[in-house]
Amino acid sequence: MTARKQATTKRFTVDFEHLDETLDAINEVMQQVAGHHKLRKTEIERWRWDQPSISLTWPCDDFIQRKILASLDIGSGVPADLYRLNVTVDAWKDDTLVVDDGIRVPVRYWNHERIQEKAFTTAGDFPVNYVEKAIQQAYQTVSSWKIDDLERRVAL
Amino acid sequence: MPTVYYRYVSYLPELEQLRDERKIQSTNPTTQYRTWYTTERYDSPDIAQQRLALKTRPLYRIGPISAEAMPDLTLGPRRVAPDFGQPGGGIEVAIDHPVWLFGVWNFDNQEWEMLP
Repeated sequence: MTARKQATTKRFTVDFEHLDETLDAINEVMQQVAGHHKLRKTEIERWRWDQPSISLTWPCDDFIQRKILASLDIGSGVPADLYRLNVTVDAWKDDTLVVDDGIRVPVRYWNHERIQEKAFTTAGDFPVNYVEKAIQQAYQTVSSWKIDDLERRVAL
Repeated sequence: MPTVYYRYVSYLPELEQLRDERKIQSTNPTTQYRTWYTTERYDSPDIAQQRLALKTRPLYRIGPISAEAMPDLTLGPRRVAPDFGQPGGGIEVAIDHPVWLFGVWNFDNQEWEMLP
């Protein structure tokens, strides 16, 4: 079998429009959260690298960037689990680290946490109330993190 | 060193599009086919997933594509933020137009011809 036929065999298609309707609903919730908490310089972005997701990012006075990400996954396929919604949070600060020989190297201090996962069927039964609760919880979690909570470190 | 770009792909219909139309472009109509690239070459899909903060390991790397062959950037270059439990840290850009690859079209067979 040629490589092309193999690729065709494994092929599945993404219903971009359907998923985008769901991201529209999440977008409304994120806008409400940003407004309620008076977040400044917010950025809402969706479909980065074609991933079915939407994120709310904002900088803070402590120079830490904070993000709430809601992403959609294909579920197990049974009627009640066609799609899954995941809400996660990230916080990070890019800085420099002085190594032994005095050279400064750029590093990222960051942290990540999964907040909630929820199965749903179609855009029509999208659990808006659940999303509001999950994103509020995400906001409370990520906004409580201080610099010492950014326990992971990676070289840039 | 001149700038070159790479695209990392997991979605097979996009790869089929590349083969059939000699076109590099996202297949997502909801973003007006916005297409993401990076200036970094990763030989490991795990590193690509980490640096680009992707949900899954990419299956293919497309490129290098010279900067001269790229349409104007719509977004970036910018540092990749963490996502999906990945730290990010790579460089990403986005463009809203396709990149066309060189090809030889056979009029009789109505298909792209493989060259030796």
